[in-house]
Amino acid sequence: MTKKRLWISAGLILVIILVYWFYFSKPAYVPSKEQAIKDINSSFPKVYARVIQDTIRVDERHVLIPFISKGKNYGLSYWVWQYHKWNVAGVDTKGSPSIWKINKNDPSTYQLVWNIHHPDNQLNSIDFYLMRKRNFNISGGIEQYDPKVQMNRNVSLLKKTYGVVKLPKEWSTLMNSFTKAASGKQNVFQRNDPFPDQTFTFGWLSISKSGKDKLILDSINGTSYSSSSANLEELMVLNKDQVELPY
Amino acid sequence: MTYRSFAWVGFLANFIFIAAALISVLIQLVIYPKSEPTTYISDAVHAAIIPMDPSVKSHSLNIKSLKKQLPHIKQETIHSDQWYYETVKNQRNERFPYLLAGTSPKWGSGLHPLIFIEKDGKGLLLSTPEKQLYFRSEASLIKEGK
Repeated sequence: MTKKRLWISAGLILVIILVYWFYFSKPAYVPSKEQAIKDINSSFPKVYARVIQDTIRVDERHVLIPFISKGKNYGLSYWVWQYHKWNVAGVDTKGSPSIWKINKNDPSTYQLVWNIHHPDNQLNSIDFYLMRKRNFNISGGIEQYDPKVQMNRNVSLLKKTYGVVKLPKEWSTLMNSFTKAASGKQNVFQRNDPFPDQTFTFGWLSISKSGKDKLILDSINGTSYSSSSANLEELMVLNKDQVELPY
Repeated sequence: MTYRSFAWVGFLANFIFIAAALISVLIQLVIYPKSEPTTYISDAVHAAIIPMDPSVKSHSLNIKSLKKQLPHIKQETIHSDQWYYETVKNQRNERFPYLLAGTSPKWGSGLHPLIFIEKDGKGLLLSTPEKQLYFRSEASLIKEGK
C-alpha cells in the first residue's frame, strides 16, 4: 500500500516537472543561424531566407531575427519561445517599420522594429511617430477640445539596416493615461463605452540625404510576403505635410 | 402559496437597491464635487509632465506652486472651436501641449481624467469621457527641465 502511494506521488511530481518544463521554463539559448534559416524556410516556404543578419533578444521569450532573402529583400522574422522551443511566429520580407505588440494590453511591451535597405539612396534615419488628431466637439452646450498628440523618436540607419527599440516610456505612459481615462465611469447609471475609438496612429517618416523620399517608398512597396500569428502592426507611411512643425 | 411571501420580499428589495443607487449619487456629489480641481488631483508626488507636441521641451511639475494654487484656481469657459481654429488657421502651436500623468484623484472617486496643461503653464484642461473642465491659475504650475 505504501509502495503504491510512493509511486503515485513520484508520478505526480514528474508530471509537475514536465508541465513546468514544457510550458514555463525559460530558454537557455537563442536559435542558431542555421536553425533560423531552416525554420523560416520550412514554416514559410515562400520566403527563401538566405542570410541571417543578426539575432536580437527582445526579452526572455522573444527574439527578432533580421534576414536577407534570395531576392535580396531585407526582412524580419519574429520568434517566440513556446512549448520548450523557439517558434517562428511571423515573417515579413519587406521589413517595413512595424510594431510588435508582445502583450497587446500593455503598451510598455510594444517594440518598434524595422529592416530597411535601399541600394540607390542612402537613408539617414527614420522618425517614428505617435499621433492623435486635434479635434473639437460642441453638442448640447457641452464643449470638448482634444489637443493634438505628435511625439517622435528618431533612429539611425547609418550603421545597421535593422533594429528594434522599445516603445518610448513617455508614449506608453501617455497611451495608458488615455485608456484609463476612457474606462473611468462615474456612477451606476453610466456604463463604459464598449467601443472606444481608435485614438492613436503610429506612423513613420524616412529621412534621406538627398531628400528623395519617394524612391524609398517605391522600393518598400515592392513585392513582399508576410504572415504572422504574432501581434504585428505595420506603421503608416507619413507625408511631410501630415507632420506639424513648431512655428 | 408559501413562495408568494418570498416573491414579495424580493420585489420590495428592488426598491432598496434603487434607493441606494440614488443616494449614492448624492453622496458622491457631496464627497467628490465635480467642479473642484482637488477632486481630480489630490496627490501629485509621482506626477510627470509629458510633452505631447514638438513645440515644447520637457518640463516638470512645480509641485509647490500646484499645492498653493490648486484650491484657488478658477474655472473658466471652454472655447473649443476657437482654440481649434486659432491653432489650425492662424498656424499657432498647440494650446495644450503637455499631459500631466501619474497624479491620483481623491481616494475612492474612481475618476481618472486626462489632465492637459496649457502652454503658458497656467491652464488645466481636465477631460473625462462625459465632460471637460477648464481652470486657470495665477502662476505657472510647471518649471523648465526634468
